[in-house]
Amino acid sequence: MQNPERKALLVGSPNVGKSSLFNQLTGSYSIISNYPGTTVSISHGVVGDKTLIDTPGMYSLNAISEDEKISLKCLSQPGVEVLLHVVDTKNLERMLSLTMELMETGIPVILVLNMIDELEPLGLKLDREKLASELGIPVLITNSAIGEGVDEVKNQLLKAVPKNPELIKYSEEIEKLISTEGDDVQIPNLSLRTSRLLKTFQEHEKGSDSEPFFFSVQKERFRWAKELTAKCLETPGKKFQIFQERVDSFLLNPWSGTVILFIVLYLGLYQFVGVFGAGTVVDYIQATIFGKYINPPLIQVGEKLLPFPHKQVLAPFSEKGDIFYRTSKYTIPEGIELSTSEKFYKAIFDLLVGEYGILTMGLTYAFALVLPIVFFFFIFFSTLEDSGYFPRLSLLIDRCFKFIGLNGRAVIPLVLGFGCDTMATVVTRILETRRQRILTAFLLALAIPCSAQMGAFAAVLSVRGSGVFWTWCGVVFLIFLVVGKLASLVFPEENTVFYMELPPLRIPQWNNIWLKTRARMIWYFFEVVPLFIFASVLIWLGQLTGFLDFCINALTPAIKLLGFSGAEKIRAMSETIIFGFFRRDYSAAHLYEIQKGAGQHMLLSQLELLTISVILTLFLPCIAQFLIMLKEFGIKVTLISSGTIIMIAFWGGVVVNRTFLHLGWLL
Amino acid sequence: MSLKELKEGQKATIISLPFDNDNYLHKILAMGLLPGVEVEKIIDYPAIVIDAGYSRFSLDSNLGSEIKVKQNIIY
Repeated sequence: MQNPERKALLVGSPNVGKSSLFNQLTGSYSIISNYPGTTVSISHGVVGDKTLIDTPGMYSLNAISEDEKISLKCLSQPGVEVLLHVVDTKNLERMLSLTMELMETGIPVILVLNMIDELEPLGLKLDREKLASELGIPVLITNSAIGEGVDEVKNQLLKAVPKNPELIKYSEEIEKLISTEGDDVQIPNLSLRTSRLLKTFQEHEKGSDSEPFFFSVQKERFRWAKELTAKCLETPGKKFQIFQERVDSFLLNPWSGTVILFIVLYLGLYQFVGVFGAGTVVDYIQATIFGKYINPPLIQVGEKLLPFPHKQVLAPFSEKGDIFYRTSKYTIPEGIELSTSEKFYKAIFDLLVGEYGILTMGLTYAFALVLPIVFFFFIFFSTLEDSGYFPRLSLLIDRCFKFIGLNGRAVIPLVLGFGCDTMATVVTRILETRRQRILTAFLLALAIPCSAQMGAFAAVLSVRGSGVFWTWCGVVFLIFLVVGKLASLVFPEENTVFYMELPPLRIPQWNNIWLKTRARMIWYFFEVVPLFIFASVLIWLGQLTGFLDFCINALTPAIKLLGFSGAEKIRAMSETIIFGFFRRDYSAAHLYEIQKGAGQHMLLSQLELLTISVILTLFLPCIAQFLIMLKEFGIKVTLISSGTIIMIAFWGGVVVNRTFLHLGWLL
Repeated sequence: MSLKELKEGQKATIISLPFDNDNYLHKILAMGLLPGVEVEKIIDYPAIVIDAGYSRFSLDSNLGSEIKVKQNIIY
């Protein structure tokens, strides 16, 4: 049994693989991103006989930022027996000053040299034994990305860690200043020396000295670190390879960088995710696997066990190549009155294998359409992530994003939003301020369709020619910019600043892509897929109780305002919007059905199609996203932004409709 | 001088950070740019790119102008 009093702390500056090491040590999974500051809450886990605590980023014990204050608090709590200082080995020189500081606290330190795989490409050679003997503490080597060396860390944690050796003294001047502090400054669990140092920093922090005290101390620490590193880390003459240098100047140049961005989007998003993933692969899974081998037997079993008079018809859009492949649809022959038991059977049949059934719609949709598309998108995204492209894109686009009140950092959640808005809403955590997070989540919900929804709308709009599709893209993008600009004016922020590490560019590693894609798929599977079942049940309940009809009628005046006429068409549009409450793409599927299956009187004009698609795109993406918003930002923000989004969606539709009517386009 | 004023290809040591601006400070520290760290400026536009040790960072000019550096003299 683990004793809650015995603690081991994982400390280190951000982006050195602390979180991934934590997960490897404790066996839990979560997505680790390649950008600084992803440890938002403090994670606890169990390793052997100790509780392992992951602290937020820490750069120096002299806590000048909020994160560090939390970290310092973690250090001074009772029961902390050992500190695991995780460092990015290639930057040993810069990282060792914190090792020294930690050793000063008197708490035993284990130094973990992480990201060891990066040494070789840079031509660096490490002498671990030398470093360990110079420091006098255990020094371990890991590559937390693939779990290398993790067992050694576990073993070391089980052993009693030796006391830290005596440490170097600072210059006389500094030592004198420290010693003027009394014993009363003692911080629990930390050495008197550390406590005194921290107190002295505080007192001289904002002094008018020509050289701040903190700088003087740091300078000596860095000198010590430099000498030590020189003994243990063999470095080649040139730092970055010429190749890196050249590629970077190409990627970061505003002109060539933009061209490369478009090539990446075309090849990755359009060809790989769109044409291959959402086209070829989805087609096969839908038409062959689900359409032939899975759903027909399920429907037959349903018909055997739940008999009621009906006739299965194949929906007109169940041809190969249709993105919305429906496998169950029936009609009840005219003039037949169902008995009570038959009505009951019909209800259960509808719930499980009917047109909107859990199996025939919910799960078929999830497994045959959404999961494959999302899978291909995540491969694309993880490949770019692993190559180190995103931070460069962030830099390139920073100035444009500042226009809408964000900064380059928001590129990552916004691009991820094209894969899954829900996941992207969680990833807004990498942004620094609550305002930025909310603004980004708002724009995600409003104007970024996820890949499944993108595919759905592309299919619907292309029914009436590609012109409508491109107009739709343009209109949604324009609304994105306008709303973003307005939002940034309504909620201004002083000094939006951008900073980001640019990790070395590298050829993406299959192993990493696979691990990242898998982690995202697991997350998606457990967070989002259950909601497909939930939606099926809700639609079923709505139909059974007549609540769906009630909502459809309630929407009629709004639909009329949008310029639709004809009772049947208005009803169909209301239905479509109601479906949008579950997922934007459900409504796209519904729209598709209307377009393909309906008679001439139901066929939408190009403008009608554009209007309704714009509304549906701007609409809330799905239930999952709504729930995550609630979880991340609370009920007030969620309701206000959802309300705003619904208003923008509706009035945006009206404006688009009127403008195009006035200009006489797409009639 | 500030990091912003440094020219492409020049090396410098960080002397001081905007200690009175928590917002900026936090971001600079997140890059490990403590006083005493040596940096080299690589690119100036569209954002500042610097190397510190074996890491490369980008930051906008707002942050760059708040980081005081002393240019390294090469003998």
